[in-house]
Amino acid sequence: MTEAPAKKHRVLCVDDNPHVVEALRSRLSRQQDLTWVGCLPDADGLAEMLERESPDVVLLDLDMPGRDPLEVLSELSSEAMTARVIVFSGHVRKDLINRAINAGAWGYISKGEGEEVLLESMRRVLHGEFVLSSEVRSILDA
Amino acid sequence: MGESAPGMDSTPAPLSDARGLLAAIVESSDDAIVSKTLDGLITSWNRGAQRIFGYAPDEIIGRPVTTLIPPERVHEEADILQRLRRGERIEHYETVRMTKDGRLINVSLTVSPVRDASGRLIGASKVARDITAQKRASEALRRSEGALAASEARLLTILSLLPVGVYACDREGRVTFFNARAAELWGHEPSGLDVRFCGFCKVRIDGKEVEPERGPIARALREGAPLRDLEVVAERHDGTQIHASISLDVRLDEAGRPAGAIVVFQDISVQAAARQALRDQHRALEEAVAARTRELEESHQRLRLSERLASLGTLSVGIGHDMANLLVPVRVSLEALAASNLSAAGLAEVERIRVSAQYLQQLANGLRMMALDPERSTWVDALDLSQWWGDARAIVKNALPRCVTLEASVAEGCHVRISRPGLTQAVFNLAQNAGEALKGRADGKVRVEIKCQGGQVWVVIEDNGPGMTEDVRAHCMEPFFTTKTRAISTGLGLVLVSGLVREASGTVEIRSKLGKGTTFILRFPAASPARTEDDGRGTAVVDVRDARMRSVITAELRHLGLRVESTPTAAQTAVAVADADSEMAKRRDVARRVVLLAEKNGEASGVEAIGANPKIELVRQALRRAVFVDAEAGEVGR
Repeated sequence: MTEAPAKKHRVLCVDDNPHVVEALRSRLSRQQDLTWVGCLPDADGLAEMLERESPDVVLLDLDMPGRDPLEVLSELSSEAMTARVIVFSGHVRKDLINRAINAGAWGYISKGEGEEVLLESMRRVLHGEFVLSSEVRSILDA
Repeated sequence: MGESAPGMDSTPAPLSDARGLLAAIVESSDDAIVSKTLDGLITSWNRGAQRIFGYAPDEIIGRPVTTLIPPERVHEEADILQRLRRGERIEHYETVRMTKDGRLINVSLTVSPVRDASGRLIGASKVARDITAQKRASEALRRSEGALAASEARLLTILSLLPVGVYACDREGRVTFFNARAAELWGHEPSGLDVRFCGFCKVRIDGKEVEPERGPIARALREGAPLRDLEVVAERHDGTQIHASISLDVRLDEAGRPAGAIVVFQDISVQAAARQALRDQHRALEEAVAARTRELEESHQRLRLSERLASLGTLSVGIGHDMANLLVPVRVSLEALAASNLSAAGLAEVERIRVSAQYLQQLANGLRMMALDPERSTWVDALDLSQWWGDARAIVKNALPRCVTLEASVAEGCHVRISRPGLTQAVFNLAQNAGEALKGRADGKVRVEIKCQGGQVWVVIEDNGPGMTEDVRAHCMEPFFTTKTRAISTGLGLVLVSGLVREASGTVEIRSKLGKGTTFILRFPAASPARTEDDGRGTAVVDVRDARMRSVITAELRHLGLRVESTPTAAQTAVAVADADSEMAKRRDVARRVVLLAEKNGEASGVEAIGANPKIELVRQALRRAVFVDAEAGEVGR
């Protein structure tokens, strides 16, 4: 981001893989416009966490123990919810992509496409854009 | 013939003897011999007369001869007497006479004048023969001849009216009689000896030409055996053909030897054609059933294969997913390492790990591409093959044994409308086959070439393996055909390849040379590159309150090649998407196509309502319709 960061956007990560979480935390710590507000190993406590931390962006994995993250997301989605959820998953399937969008996601990024794509997508979503990474888009068109 | 003149005793003895003899002859004759005077009075009456007419001599002598004549014929006597007086003799005059008991009998009369020694006519002798039996017999003969003629006429009428050909022939097969239909079927009227055995020019039985002299009719005539419903194809003198059915019965002579035959034949061309049509239909039906059965088996096998591939795909996706997960921290850590104060050697190590991680990432991507998408769309955007190869290369490489080299030559700018997983599976299968063929070879090489050529995109997979025999090459695309052992092959890999390629309107060509190698050429129609934002499809406006839905719709419209603006620009606007209660919805002339986030369709044409809170699938379909319906109706149908 080139604009002056008066305020850092708050990022929440929901992923059960501690290596991924740690890597993302590390990567985010080097961004001037983004800040790490915490993580969850499943989507069960997401509503509470949103209440407490008021994140701007949520990175949501899909393959986790506990409740179906997309079900949780569709229950949360409302105009009152300010956090923008981006699905960040190694699973890239048309049915999952469609479900995620219908549940209220602002974006869908494949874990295989790298962290740069993720960071760029987060910024675009924060800017009000709906984002699908290129691998996701190609699966959707196939 | 004789006369009896009573009272002539002065006759000398020898003469008297002769007269006695004559009298005895007359007396013992079977015929009636009667003499009468010129007045018609009976003067003598022999035993024959008594037998024929029933009168004893004493009952009739002296009575008029008209006693014997039926009243309606009495005038005959006057006529006879008149002719006698003229000296005429009446011979074999056939007439009717009456017996004592009133029966009328047919008689043949011979009446001769009787003269005295001076030549004076003194009476007449009458010989009457009873010809009643003879007359009846000849009458009966006449009647039966008439009946025979009538019956023959009836038979001829029947024969001429019969719808079948009938002819008679002698033992040599020469036609002695034929009906009208026979001549009609033969196509000409035979003139006696020119037609033998069947009347046709040539005859074929069961497709084989048979000479008349050796044919079944000649044999039947030789052996005296009947023939029933023999079917032949007969050729007429004018070259036309009919199907005929022939039956015959042999006539035997008194000695029991064949004397000839009556032959009946009919045109069964219509039945033969119908039977042939029925046979053809039956065969066609059987073929259709066989083809359907084959198709069913194939599709069943394809289903089994795709089930296997689906489970393989699920496994691949799982592994790909886990790999992608693990690579996130690897990449992040490498990045952190690279940013730290490392020596040049350390940085080189980091770079080597990064390259390996990148390869692993491609492998993970490739594994994910192996999954069969359960929601395969009918609309496939053009796939950039050089971009695809970047992801697919690793998975294709993995299909080959370690010793086999993978070479690739991929031209930029080749696009094909095919699903990514579909193409990956097809090329993966072909590479795997090539790898099998090259197993154990130190110089094994598989080359993938992608190029654009004359409106087509060629995906070529070539190996330097042992090649295929012509037989293998001809059949290797058939289901269940395999050169591998069943344990490692279903024999369906190439069927799947062919199916996937066909689905993308492509073709598969196989070139193979024994000892040189095999080349699979997949040819696809070249497609234009996928649309990018603002490639001339016009502009769209979006007036949707919900920020996320607005963004989703905007992203989809851009993906479809439209420039999205915040306010309508009059005539150039192609598509407008708006909430039902928005300002824009109130001015429906704002764009050529309007998609409303509303429950109910408006009346105006070009306006489609997709629900207030539509699913993304509906949104996507509606936007595609709105964008393509005018410009590329055909393309959307794909």
